[in-house]
Amino acid sequence: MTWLRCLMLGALLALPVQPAVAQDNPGPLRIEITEGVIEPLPIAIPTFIAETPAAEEWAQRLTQVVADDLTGTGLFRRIPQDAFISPVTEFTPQVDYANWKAINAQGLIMGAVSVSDDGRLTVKFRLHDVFAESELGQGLQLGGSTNSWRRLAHKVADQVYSRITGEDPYFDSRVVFVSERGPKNDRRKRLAVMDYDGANVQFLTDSDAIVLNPRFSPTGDRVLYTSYETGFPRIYEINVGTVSRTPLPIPGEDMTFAPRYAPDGRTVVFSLTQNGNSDIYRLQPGGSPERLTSAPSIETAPSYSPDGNRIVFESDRSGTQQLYVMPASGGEPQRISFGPGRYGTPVWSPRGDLIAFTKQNEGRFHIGVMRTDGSEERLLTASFLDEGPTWSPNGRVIMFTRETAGASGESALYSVDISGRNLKRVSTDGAASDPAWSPLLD
Amino acid sequence: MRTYLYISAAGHALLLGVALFGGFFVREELPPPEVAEVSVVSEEEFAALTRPEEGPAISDAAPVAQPPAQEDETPEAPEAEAPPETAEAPPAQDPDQPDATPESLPEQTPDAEVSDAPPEAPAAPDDSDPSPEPTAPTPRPAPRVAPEAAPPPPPDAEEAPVVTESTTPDPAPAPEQETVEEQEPTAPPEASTEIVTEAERPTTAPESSPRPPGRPTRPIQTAEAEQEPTPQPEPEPEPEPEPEPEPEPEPEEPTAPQTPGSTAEASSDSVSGAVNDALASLRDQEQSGQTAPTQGEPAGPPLTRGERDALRVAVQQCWNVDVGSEAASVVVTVGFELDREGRVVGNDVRMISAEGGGDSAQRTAFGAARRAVLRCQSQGRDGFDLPDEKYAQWRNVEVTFNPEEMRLR
Repeated sequence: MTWLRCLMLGALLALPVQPAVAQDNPGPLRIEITEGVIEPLPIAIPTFIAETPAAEEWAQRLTQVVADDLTGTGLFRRIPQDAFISPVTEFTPQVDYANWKAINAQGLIMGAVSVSDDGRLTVKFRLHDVFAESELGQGLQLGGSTNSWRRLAHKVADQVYSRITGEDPYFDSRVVFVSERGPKNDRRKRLAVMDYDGANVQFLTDSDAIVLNPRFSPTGDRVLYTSYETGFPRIYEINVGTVSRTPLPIPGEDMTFAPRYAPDGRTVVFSLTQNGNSDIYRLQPGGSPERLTSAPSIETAPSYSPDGNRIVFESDRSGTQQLYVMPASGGEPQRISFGPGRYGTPVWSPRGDLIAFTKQNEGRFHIGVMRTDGSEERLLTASFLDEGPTWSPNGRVIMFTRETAGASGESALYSVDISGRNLKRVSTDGAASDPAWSPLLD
Repeated sequence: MRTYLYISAAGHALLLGVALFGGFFVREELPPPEVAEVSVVSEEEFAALTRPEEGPAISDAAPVAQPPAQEDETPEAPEAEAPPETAEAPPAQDPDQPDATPESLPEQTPDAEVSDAPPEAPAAPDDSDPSPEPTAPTPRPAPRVAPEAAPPPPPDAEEAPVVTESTTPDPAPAPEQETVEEQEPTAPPEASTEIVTEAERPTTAPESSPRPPGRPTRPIQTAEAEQEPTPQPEPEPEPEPEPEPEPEPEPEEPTAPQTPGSTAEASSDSVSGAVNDALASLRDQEQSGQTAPTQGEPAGPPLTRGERDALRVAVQQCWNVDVGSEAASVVVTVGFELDREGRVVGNDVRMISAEGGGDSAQRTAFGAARRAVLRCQSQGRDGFDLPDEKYAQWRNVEVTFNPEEMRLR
């Protein structure tokens, strides 16, 4: 037996020799990856090159705003310039990618700024995908007056953001809000507009009357808001450019509030209280208000879907305040919120896939999002008082009002990514509330 | 008559011859010797054999007592016993020793039996040898500390929040603070909500996970070096000399045991089973058609789970997912070819398929996947860390990036 054993063992050892040498190409190795990391993308933003002596200061400022825009999203991290291996001294399409790979820069933004004699600012930039060793998109040149330098920077940042994330941008946008001054028992409220990052504040109204719930038109040139200047709430429309305002043509002396434009920019939906019963109405250009709901309960805070076919609103017809969706022309509403607590101020995302809302539950306020059918509810924030969400033009970020407790409590504007990350305060000069984001500017 | 006698004699002689040389006795002898040895040895060494047996019964105490006893012998023997009782847990590791020192044991084992030792024990550790005890005592304190240090527990309970805060911030919060500066003042009260915290957790998780994969691959690295023979003119000259003579025989041995090993270990016993396996694998290889014999390299055994995991972890730690974007709903598969150093050939990562999302989202998802692959091939070392002898197994790679679980997080 032993010899047989040896023989077979020998044969066994001898057999694989040939195939082992000859075998090849067993097919691709397949791997599935389901776990990644969530962290800011490191990008290099060398200070833009000043192509004219006068552009030195502008280059510094522009670079800073571009960097602030990108890092402010929480999706990017700027690599300190002193970590750069070789300084960027000229604006050329050639890049030594190895130097940027070495510091793990995944994106590289190179820019150049020049100022003409008549004060016109020109910005050029190129975005490089370092690890793919190629330019991401084409180089771009933007021009404008020195007064609009921040917008130029925002546009550059928008391009970078959009090319890297594949999403629509939102930096070149504005926010209308209610600026608050003075103590709590004598709060002076004024309507104001600012850049999305809090810069360039411009007041639209004086502080004679209480103003509430400003809403940008889809074109960004007009604002609807509610004012108490006659003693009870009425809706006005104000032109942002000329600051001229007109009351919404609604007959009667009923209280009207919570206005919002339809996507067409002309039709307006709002709440109207008649004999103590609030319902939702629609006002089309040249027409008279049409009643869309007819329940004995309170219906308010209507918001159109981006396609203009549906309206989401809040109602307490079930006994507690909940969210409902109905056709834009009225009809049977369908309840979409079923969780514990009370839901209010729904706002349809510009993307159309989500609805943001304020939720009050167990003594705390939350800003949350849910699918348009009410599924996948997620709460993004929680505090003593969070309310009034508004969407960034690309549906990625939500801005809202956060108020602190107590007699010295103040309201401020906050923004949060729809993933629940990157919660931060929007810098405003003094207290602020009721933000409403504009569309992306032209 | 004589003829019968001759016949009988020849027959018996033949029978005896067959019996002697035919192996009957040989075979019979094989089993008996084992029995004989056992019985023969018994008397003289029986005592010695039996006592070691007792040793293991008291094994906990006995083995530990040996080292001290040999040094100090009788006077300090009891003292030395003290440690064993307390250190009963560790001694279990020394079952090997009784075999080596059967003679010295018997005398000491009775000492170990003395159960009176425990009271004396407290004094013993202080006086007894400094060298052996320090090693033993160190494990003991841990269990004892708990009962003795009765006072500490209350502070733990009361000050628990303080303690936890001080420990956790060290690893995690540092990065968080960088990204979300102003969130902190408000975050603590909000800790109750799931989502804000959930979203921040991931930042800490990936950092710890990537490390492990190094182990499985390293041993293989050495193997790689030996077997990097013909195809590579560039690589270091050091590894080459060894492999050239041996490349063929070496792979044989691993292939034989590993291929059956994965399916059934039992087959190693039955030779025929192993042969069948080998034949079957040969047949499979022939059927599969060895299309690319250009390099004539060994395909090697399939990658082990650890090796695959190492590659997976290497890529995933570079895969940055923007969970809030539409790209997070795209499942994208990319393909690329690796050279022997584990580097992507020509930095060429191509999209094989993409499901979900729009064109823009798919482009972004592909961009993130490509960055993950290209970035991580140069992390730590140059090229992905894969066993060289299995090059054919990982030369072409397809990676599917599925962010679904990330999105739900």
